[in-house]
Amino acid sequence: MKHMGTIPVSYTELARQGVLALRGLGYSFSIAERAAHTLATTEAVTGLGLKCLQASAQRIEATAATSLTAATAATGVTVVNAGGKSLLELSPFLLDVASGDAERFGRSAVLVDDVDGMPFLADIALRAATHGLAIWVTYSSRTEPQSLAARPASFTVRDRRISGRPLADPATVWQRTGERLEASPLASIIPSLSAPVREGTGRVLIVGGKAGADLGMLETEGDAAAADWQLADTWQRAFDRAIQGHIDAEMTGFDFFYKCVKRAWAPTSDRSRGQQG
Amino acid sequence: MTPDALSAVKPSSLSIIHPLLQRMTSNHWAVSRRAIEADEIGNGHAVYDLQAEGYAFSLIVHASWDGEEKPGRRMDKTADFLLSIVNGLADDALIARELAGLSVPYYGGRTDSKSFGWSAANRSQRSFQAVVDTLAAGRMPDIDDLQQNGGYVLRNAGFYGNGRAGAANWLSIPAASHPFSDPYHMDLFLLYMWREIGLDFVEAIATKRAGTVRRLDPRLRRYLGVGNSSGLGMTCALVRWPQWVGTWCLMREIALAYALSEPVHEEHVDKLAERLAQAARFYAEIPGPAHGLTPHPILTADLAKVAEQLDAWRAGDRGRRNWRQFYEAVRAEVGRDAVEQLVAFLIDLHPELVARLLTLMPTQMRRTRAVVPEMTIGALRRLIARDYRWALDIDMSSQESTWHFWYHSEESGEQRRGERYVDPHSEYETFVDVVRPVQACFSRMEGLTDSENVGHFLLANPDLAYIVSRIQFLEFEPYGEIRGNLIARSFLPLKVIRFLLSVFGLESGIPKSAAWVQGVLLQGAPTPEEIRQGRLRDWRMPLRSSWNTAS
Repeated sequence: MKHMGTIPVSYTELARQGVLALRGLGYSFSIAERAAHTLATTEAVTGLGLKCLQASAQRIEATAATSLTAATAATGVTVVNAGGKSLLELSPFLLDVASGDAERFGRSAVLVDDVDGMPFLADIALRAATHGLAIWVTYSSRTEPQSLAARPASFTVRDRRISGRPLADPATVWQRTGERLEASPLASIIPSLSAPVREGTGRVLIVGGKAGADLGMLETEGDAAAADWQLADTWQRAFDRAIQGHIDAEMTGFDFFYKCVKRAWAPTSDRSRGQQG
Repeated sequence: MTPDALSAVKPSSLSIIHPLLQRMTSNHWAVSRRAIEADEIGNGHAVYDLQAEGYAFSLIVHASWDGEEKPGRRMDKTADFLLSIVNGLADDALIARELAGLSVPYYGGRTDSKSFGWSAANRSQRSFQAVVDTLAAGRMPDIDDLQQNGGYVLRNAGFYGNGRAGAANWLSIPAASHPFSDPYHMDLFLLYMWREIGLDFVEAIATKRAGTVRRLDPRLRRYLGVGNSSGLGMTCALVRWPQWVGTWCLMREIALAYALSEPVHEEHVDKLAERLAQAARFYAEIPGPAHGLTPHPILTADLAKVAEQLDAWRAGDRGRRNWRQFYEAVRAEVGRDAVEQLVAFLIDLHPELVARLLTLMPTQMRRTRAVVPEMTIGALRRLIARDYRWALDIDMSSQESTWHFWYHSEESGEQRRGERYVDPHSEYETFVDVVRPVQACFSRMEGLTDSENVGHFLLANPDLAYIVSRIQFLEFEPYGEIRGNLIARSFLPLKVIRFLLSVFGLESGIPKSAAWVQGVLLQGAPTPEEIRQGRLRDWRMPLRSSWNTAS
């Protein structure tokens, strides 16, 4: 069953056992049962979920019980300081804010700073697509080798299609109309986008609107210098393939995953053994 | 519904085994045994093929016997019988691969998406060997002995599908037209097959020992069922899948309301009288619960009262009779279990309605839960006040009210129940308690403006995301929650376990402890040959005295 250090794993297995694995790393049930889907989705569409879990495990344990700070400005932009938390934990909640505000107000924007785990952004893209939300996301990170965040990039979800491309500079984004972002209601966050990213973490900007809304499109500075960056286009197809078949996960990440699962298994006491069913 | 109310619910045509067998029969599902090999002890393997509605499947069975009775735990070294159900007809390579995977101790093998999952079963310590011995000696087993020992030779030990050990995702099964697209149909089909497989291996082992072909009386094969033993994990499952509970109970309520509103037809009254009499005899013949549930002597006495009430009612003024009047009269006179038996029989009088309701069930059961982030805090507050008043009113301040917690046991690999103030590791508590999170959510919304939305609330309170999504999800599911404190010291899990077994179609579960219910399923059910021919008898509540009369 094992080929070249990989093992066939099902999406559902990761999502189900992931709840235990993530509780083993310190998340509450409520967070873990959402993050488990983020983990499974990311593994399914990028093959980086388990690897990133292993690489970030210490940071996850250190930040699982900490709080983040969030504030919503008068402009409607929500600014979150994640305090080093992982997008594994935060992705569903960030999308909730983007989606909830977009449904009620037509447009939303969430800027997240000091956040870890860029590969888990894939989950935001998939959830947005399935929830009928139009979004675009730009992110940057400096120190995540072998991950999506090796260079600053962006992706858009429109009409259930996902596309992505790298950004030369996330602080310089354009809308389709040719109007620079600085002129939009998001202008107030431009200084934040331009600030240096803290070592070891990243920054994410999510702009959302109701399905079909014209959010404009991110454009790279200058020409489409790296228009060949097509990874995001494959996400939905990769997800569908994982549901219909299986995921070939790397053994090291899979073994680590089950080590985390077993942390949440508890010994049976004599007293509870007496009432077992 | 409360745990007490759920514990009394009886199987009806809505119970999942019945639409499954109806579907199997209507579509002439064809099960054929491709191979079976067994030594004199019982080690061996078998392969079965299923042709159903244009789809093909194979069941690859691994059999072994080490002389030890197995409790049927996930962490047992092995099970006496294990099978893999694979998509398409398995070739030799796939058969060899799955047999190798199934033989790895402690369920340590892996498969992939070619398999829908693995199922396990164990010998009935009391019956399997005795039936083999008797048959090998050239005699037929005694049906009374078999009934007293449970009425089965194999006991189901669970289905490990939907991605477990790398198996296919349930979502990969098309939502329509696939033979196993309805929830639990694959699980219960495999239960059905364990009944056949167990009896086939009994014959194969007896034949090997005798050196000549040994066959069980076909009537005996038909009378025997498959054993089932359900425990604490069922409670977690019921809490985990509120849409199943809610959908099934809603369909039951709709069917009952319809039945009570229908005009009274004499043939229905006759049928009801017949079923009540059969039920009284059935419950008198089989062992009943010793504690926690209504004992069978009380139930049979109550059913006799219902039958008397029916006689008196039918002798009354025909012009003024209606079913609701009768139902209310029964409710006033007998216990909850007998009322629920009447409800099941009333529903069974309307198979056309049941068939229509059953078409709605899979879609409802497949609904998935998600946070509705744009909902306002005001709306969420009103929802909790409307649907969860029962939870807000429970006093959770005492140790007695929060005594238990469920957890995933490293010893058994299954859900266990610990004592919070005695046992460690309550930080890994499985979600079973709805009451405290609802109360916490309601409390933490105090002071927030009604216009704030749930998305922002959950960003600040991520530990409440699950309960909020659950409350939102069940907005239109009035029966989704079990309305009781499931972590209280006084809570008896057997009550909700009994309910789930009724949903499956198990006619009599016998609690062996507060958290463990045994029973037998599919006793009297049609054989594969009857199904292939499209013949579906009325097989429910088979009586010992009549086991050999049906052809």
